[in-house]
Amino acid sequence: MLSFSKKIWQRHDIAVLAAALLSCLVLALLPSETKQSLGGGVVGIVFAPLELGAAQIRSMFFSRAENQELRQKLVEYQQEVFKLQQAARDNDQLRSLLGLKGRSRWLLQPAWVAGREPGTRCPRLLVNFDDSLAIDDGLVTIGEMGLVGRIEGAGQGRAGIRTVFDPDSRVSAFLPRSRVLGIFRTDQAMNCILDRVPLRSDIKPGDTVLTSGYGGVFPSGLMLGRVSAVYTDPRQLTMHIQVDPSLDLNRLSHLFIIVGGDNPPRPELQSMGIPKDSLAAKLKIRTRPAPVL
Amino acid sequence: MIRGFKIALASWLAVYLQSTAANLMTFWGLTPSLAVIIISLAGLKQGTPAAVWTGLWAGFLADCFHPASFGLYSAAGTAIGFLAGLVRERIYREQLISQAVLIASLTMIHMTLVFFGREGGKLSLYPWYLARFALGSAGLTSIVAVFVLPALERWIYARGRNRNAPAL
Repeated sequence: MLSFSKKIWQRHDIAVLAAALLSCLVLALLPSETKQSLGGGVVGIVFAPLELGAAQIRSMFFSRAENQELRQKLVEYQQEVFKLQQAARDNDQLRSLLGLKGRSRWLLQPAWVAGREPGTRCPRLLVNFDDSLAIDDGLVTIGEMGLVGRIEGAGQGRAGIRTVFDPDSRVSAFLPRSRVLGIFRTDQAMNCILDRVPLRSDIKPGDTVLTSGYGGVFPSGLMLGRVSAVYTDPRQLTMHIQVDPSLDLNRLSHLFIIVGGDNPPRPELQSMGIPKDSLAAKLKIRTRPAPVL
Repeated sequence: MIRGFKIALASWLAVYLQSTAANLMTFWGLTPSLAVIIISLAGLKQGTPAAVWTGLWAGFLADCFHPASFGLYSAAGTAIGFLAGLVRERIYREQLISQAVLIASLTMIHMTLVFFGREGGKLSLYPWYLARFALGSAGLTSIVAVFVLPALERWIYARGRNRNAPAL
């Protein structure tokens, strides 16, 4: 296919290819910290202006309809807040009577998305935040739609986030209705699934999936999504559950980093009602009829 | 010089759109590979060296979103740039259909290189990946290319006004 009319090292295209591949090799062999900072820096500097412009354009197009919607929501939420304040007061009083720990009060710091990896459910985000903040790796980030992920590769005013869609990410999840634990993760087709749920668990489409807090990484009570489909195979030990995630990265522009505060208590796992013994119905005590006297 | 700048700018926009607006163009989990269109165009119009440098630049920008596998997209971009330049003399490069077929092939090669670079030894998954993603994305990219290529070609390779041309 190649016509080697000249010696191979004299060919200009081969020389260019060799130089370019050598550059790739150098990039691949860089230390991982340098890769992180180089990637974050380039995205922050090169793509941030485009992201800013795109955000302005998006806001121009959507702001009017969004304003109307927000006004309507504001009225609804004001009423809701009034009800919730009353409920919170009652809750605090009852908790103090029962001697329970108080509700969670997180210390949150805002951040905004500067870049994202290509893909519908991207495993990694780059965010910017206030330069004066000291943000460490491992901190949890949340959005209005629930859990977003963990900080990885934090720098001055900039950090990467490994989202819940990362193929290596595992989140301990909890279904409040049936009080069942599972592992929330993405499969190879980037579908969100709930793993390791025992076969005979009471799970239905529409059930809410929250973080359990038992994994020790994420606090409990953060929204992960809703069950979209449940498949059971009697030959397997666990159910196959598909989850419709609440997090939509296409709509995520601002998020919060949990930098401190108290986490809410972890949920109780045992069922509220007294479970019936499945064998009880099958046991039949045979009694001999009394002899006729 | 100006062409090089325009190609670099187009690659930059392509990688950005790939990471944001391409999500809006996603069809059944398939996304067109816009950077491959630019690299192929550079290869078809200018030959191997220009396509290789375009591939390296576009790949480097894509690598910045994947620090864990830094260099992989650069190498894949470089490889398809080289291939685009290599087949330049062997196809009817002025025909849009030829260009679309070439772009579909290069997209598949690019996705294959990225798959093996990222997934490593998971060879058993490759047929499924090829059938589910690579073929579909290649088709989608070539469809997008049919609409985008003429405009891109006009913008990047438009000749300046010939001042010596006789007045009609």
